[in-house]
Amino acid sequence: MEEGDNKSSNQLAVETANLEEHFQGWGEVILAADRILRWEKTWFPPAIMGVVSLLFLIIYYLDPSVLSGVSSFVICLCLADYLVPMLAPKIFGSKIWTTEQQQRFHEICSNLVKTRRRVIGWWKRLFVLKEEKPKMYFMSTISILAVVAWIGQQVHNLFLTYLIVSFLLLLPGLNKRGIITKYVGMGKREISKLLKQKEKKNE
Amino acid sequence: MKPLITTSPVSLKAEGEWNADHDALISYSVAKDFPSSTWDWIGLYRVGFRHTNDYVTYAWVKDDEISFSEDCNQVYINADEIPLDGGEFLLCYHCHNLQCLAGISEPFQICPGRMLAEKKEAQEIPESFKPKDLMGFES
Repeated sequence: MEEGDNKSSNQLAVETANLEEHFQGWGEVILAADRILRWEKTWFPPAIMGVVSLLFLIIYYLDPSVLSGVSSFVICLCLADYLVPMLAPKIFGSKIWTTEQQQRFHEICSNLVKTRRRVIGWWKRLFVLKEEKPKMYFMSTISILAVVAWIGQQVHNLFLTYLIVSFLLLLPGLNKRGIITKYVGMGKREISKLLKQKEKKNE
Repeated sequence: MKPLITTSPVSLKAEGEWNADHDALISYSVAKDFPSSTWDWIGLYRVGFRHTNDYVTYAWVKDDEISFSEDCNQVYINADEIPLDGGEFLLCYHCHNLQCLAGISEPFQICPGRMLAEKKEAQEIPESFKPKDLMGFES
């Protein structure tokens, strides 16, 4: 591949480099959050659950309207976006990162890029399915949305949000321990068996 | 009877040394007017596989694309998905529009991961998470 040939450049490396530049001011915070979410110490998972539970108890007590809640959340995001790059060097010190820290930051940004590509990929595949098999697309999306709406009706709104947020925050740690991989692997094997059985029946 | 297709429309190649310590690279090229789709994927199979769904892992051709050009495209497979114990494998390109394997690579070796022990250790349950009885022994 020739240099200067934009089409053949490593797109993944370019996207990762762009994301690293974008998150430069958040580096220390991202590394600290990564250590917590990957359960570097055994008390991190209960600490995560404790903080999330306390936060949701406060929200339950205050009982804000949807608009107030969403606005407050966005205010917090804006404040963090402004203050974190300014305060992080003072809190964490302006130490030069070790090779390990730089490597870990690079891995995190690379994983974020890969996840983003996966989400965009599934979005595009969904639209291709809509064009190729509109009936199947319609039935699947309606069924899934109906099930989600039913679940939303059975479980209290705030409690459901609490469960989803807790699961998402525990997911990186569960993934590192191989628990997610184990059960996803089991699920894939079962689906593969079902598909093979279906093919045999069709034959 | 004459075959409709005499040469594979897709040619695949595993690039470099493969092991579970780093992401792996696949190069492939497609024939002109090949009906590719976002639903196309390249599967990693053990030699001797019997069914299209018997893949060890796979990579979406569009999602996991690293580079593309007129002659050759490249796709990566995550290090975490490569079998730790290694062995003899091959790559197959599954075409969604043709509903078949449109290309098969030559068999190649995947070396056992150097960080095999480290990964196994990372997947073990930490001491403090193991259930213990009242005397503090693991149950």
